[in-house]
Amino acid sequence: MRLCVCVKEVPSSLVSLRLDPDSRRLVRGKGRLNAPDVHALEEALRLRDEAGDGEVVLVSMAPEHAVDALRHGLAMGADRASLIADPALAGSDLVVTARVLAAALERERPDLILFGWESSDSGGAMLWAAVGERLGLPVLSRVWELRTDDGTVWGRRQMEYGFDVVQAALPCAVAISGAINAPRHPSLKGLVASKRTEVDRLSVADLGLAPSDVGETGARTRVLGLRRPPEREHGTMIEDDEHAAEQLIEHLIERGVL
Amino acid sequence: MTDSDFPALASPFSIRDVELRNRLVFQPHFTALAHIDGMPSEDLEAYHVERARGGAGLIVDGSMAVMEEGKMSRRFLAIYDPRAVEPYQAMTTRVHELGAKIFGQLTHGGHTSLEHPPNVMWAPTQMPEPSSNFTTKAMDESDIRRTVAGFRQSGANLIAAGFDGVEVKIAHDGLLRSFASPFFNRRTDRYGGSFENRMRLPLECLSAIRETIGEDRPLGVRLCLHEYTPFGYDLDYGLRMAESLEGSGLVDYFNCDAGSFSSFWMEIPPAAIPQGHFRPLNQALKQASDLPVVAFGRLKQPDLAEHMIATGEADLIGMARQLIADPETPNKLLSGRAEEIRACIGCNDACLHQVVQEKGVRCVQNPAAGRERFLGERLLVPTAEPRNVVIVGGGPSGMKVAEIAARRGHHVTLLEREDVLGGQARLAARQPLHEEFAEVTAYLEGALERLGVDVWLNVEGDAEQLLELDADVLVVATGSQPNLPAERSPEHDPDAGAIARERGLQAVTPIPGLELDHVLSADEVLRGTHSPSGRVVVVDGNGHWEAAGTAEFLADAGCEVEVLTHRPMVGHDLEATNFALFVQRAGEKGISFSAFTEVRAVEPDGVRAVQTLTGAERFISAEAVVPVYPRRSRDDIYFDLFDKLDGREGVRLERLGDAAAPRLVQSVLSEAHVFAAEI
Amino acid sequence: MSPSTLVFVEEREGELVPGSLGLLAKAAELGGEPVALLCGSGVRDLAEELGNWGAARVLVAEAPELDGPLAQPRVDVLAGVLERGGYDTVLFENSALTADVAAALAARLYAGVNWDLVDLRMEDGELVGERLAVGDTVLVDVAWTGEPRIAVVRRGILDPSAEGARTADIESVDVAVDERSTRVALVERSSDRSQKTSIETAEVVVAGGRGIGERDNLRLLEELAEALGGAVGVTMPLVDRGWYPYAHQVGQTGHTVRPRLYLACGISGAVQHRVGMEKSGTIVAINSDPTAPIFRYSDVGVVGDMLEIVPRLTQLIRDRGLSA
Repeated sequence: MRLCVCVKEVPSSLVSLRLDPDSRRLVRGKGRLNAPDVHALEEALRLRDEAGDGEVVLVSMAPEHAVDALRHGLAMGADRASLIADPALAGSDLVVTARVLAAALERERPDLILFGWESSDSGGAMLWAAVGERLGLPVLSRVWELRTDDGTVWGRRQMEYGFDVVQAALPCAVAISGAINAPRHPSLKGLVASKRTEVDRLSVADLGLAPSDVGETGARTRVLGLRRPPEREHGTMIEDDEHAAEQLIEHLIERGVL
Repeated sequence: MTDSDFPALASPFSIRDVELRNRLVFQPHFTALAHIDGMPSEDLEAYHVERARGGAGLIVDGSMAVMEEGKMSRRFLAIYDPRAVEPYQAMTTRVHELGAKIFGQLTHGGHTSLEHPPNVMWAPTQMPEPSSNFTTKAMDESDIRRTVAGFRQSGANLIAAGFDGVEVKIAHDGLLRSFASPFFNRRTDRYGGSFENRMRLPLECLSAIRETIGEDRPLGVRLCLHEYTPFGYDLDYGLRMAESLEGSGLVDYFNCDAGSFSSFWMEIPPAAIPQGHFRPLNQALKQASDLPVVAFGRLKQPDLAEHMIATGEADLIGMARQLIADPETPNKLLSGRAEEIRACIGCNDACLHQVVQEKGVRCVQNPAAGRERFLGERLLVPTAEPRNVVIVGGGPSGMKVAEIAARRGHHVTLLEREDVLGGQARLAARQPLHEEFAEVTAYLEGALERLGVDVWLNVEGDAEQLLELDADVLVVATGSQPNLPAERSPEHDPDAGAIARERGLQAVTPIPGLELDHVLSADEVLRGTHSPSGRVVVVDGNGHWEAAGTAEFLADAGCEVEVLTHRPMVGHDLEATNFALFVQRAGEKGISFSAFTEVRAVEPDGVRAVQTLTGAERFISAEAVVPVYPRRSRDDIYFDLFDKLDGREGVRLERLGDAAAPRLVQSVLSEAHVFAAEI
Repeated sequence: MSPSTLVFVEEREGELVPGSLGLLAKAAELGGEPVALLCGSGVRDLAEELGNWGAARVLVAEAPELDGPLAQPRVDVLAGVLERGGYDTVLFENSALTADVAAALAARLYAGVNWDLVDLRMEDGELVGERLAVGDTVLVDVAWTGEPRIAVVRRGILDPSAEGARTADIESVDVAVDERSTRVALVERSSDRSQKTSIETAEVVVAGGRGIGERDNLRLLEELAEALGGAVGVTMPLVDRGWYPYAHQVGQTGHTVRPRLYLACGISGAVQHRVGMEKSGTIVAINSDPTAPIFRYSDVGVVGDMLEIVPRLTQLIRDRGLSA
């Protein structure tokens, strides 16, 4: 079984995240693996280990400095890593990213593609659906619990109202929910090994794409400008004069919250 | 996107004709950086220039004596001496070039001194300041005339030296407050007896300065608004003083202050006093006065400072310790990098503790403080030859090495066995009122992230594996462990000193019974892995917070705590403001102390102790015993690496921090900075 | 020129999702006649209601494949509708279902998708979306190159409006679901709310920070959460001290929650916490420090001691039989 895990590098806190006013792009300092992606990787490692054979491959579209973050994934036990780092990719949007990742994944022909739920540096929680669509694969998203058996994958799916159970045949793309498991820690041995594992570098050309297919020219959305958000309207303030609880309750009833 | 997050702090402000570029003031304080003869030194110049470069709007240089008899310390600045003018000109010129303004604060030490024994101390009435054993000389009219002349001459010297304004200290120490005080001033001549008479000397001094500096130069007063003593004056009186000073027309601004030598923990409040504690004083003065007000008192939070200016609580924000800890605070605040600020932790361990001993100012958070000519991020030299630096241990030492090495362009890998960085600093921050200690590692964590240091958590490995990382520089900063028998070490924190002990390089505390189950280390208590109840004996073999703060932690958890120490007092090495507040709290928490008491043996239901002076033995019953002796290094991995490397060329192996010698974090961070600056 | 907008209206558990009704009002505001698309099985009755919320026309796609909340058959429907022409903009409100639908639709049509939008406006004849980024500290104006323009609006931002109520024309659309789109099967549906409340799905989160002081005080939060039928959340320092399990941690390194009501008790509100909860419906903060940053993004702020106020709230809610 070949499992591909799509991972991204994110700053470990918002401290090193900013929007560059000139390029209007999100500037991410060097960071670490997106935490939800680490859960996806753990899930892949578990499935590989349970199956007794197979291969876990990390796939990432990111700047060159993401190589350290990928090494953390290798140290956890991933077998290989592919990094699509190409200056032409700057300015890519969701459809471009899906196009690039799908092209890289096509080369791997995985049985299962795993995604973490949501990246901690943006609200986007959608990439897997676009990648699955491009690859013509069934997609299970928001999976809270995952099983595979004889070519079938089951997922317990977290919905607004509770949990559904969905199923599909492999190959399949799965986006797992946040804290589905407790990821293993990389060992020093894994660290040593990861420093010796070559991370494959793929360029846009390697994927059979033209520079105009990607980056700003390939993108179908664009950023017009950045602004400081208007100060959130100051909420109602209540000074506690012994009756704050009562006042708060009245406010919440008025707002229809209670 | 260019508008500041702190528009109020970023706005300019004028005092008379002097325009300040922002609202941040480096408050006057004693630095002990002057030469022994009271002349300004290159160190002092570098100290203030660094804060000007860091973006402060106004610097007020303090501890300037108006006459020989007014020096509280041999390191006070002799501004009364015209020879000080020339060296000061270089400093004020540099400060101005960097866009800041600089005032000088004049004082006469009066009834207070830092010397032991003190020189003659001058006072309105002969009596000791209650915290001192030494009494004073009551001044006669000639002394008073000389004092006024000293203020006049010193004011003239300041202007000649290029200062933009003059501040007069009627604050937490010194002569002028003692004249204004109904407690200290019992005179019946024209300098005492009535409020007007008590204010006469301060006003005469201000008037003399005004005559010499002219109408355009700012003249301000650092005013103690509340003495916080049972015998002294309170805010009402402080405001009355302000009214009188303002009414004189001599004063252009007020700089707030509180406390006195008898309540010195309110002068320079440590972390146990909440941030912003003195805001009500600032507010009261601001409401009562039309003059600009500089707020004071543990102000370091940007949001709070902005709020205070935006809502008109104050006109300027005074910071001393925050700008000692991070001279770049104003620049960072005003350029959208507030999260990069290295916060003062309010420990007083290196600034205040050093200067009261007449030693140059230092800072736990900022190893460069007081040494700006030699140290500091600005002076780091980018490496021409980036090396592969591997650091084992993510406590303060390892993190600081990582930060500085990464700033210089080395490739840094940091390995930490726990799932968080911080090491013992995290435990220290759990002691009551020590939350701000966590700022030490919070700053470093942010810095490592910004610098792209490759951090690996939850990794522990042996020397073989570490050598496979092909490090050029291998730093062992694995910290220390409580000095208890090796078999007492908990599973999650196993002993790591066996090699050193075998070689006679490390010894276990030789007290029988330390292996017993009811013996707990301070680490275990603070970590919460063990929560004793009932009677607990804490042994303070350390003198600093490790024992004292743990005793408080246990008392807060409901234990009945007795602390034994072989020294004259528990917490004997605590800095004085911290010590005073600790003793107050210990009393409230019912913690009892036994001084000159050593533990002979730990027994299943208590300890056998001996009075060290008399040799008298007694048994103290206890359900748990928490011995705090100087810690042992965790150095197995170092010796293992040392043997395996066997002098191999091309790999530099170093042990730093507690792994080399367990000690206070100030020394550890300084060592780490100096080491990494030279890799 | 005003856009011709197709609004994807989500049906969930036999009801119309309010936020997606809010899209109809937004579409009308942008100009043109909003057209709603309603997919499902047996949803025709619901379609009748859509005129009340401003839909000029309603396209109803009914098929057994559209019964469960699965994305791919809906992508087929949308692609079919768009192929027949007439729409340059498609609006969604973010949900478990629509996120997948919008992204897959974008990939299929190679169309631009902007998501997590907090507003949409027309500017010089161009559709502009507004998205908050970097912990909501920066507002980004985004646009599309080419059509259709796919826009996904942050959950709970838009309220339905009956202002443009009318009688909508209702049309059925032919549904042709590709075999490839039916490969995900819904094996089991659950609407069981009795399961142990996860903070990520809870409707109410009562969260505590350092201001709670002592570990024992967490009990006060638990009691209030219980009274409101919600879950307890905590900030990182509390988890760090081992006071509460990670599963309850809200914030950057913990979980992101979007309850209808978020009560922040003794939380100062650093950005690391903010990003984990700011998308909540109504945010209430209780803190003794009036300058605490949390008040800047709270709907209701209470300056006072949470240790006194929280138990009083619990008591009042119990006494008055209130629920969220």
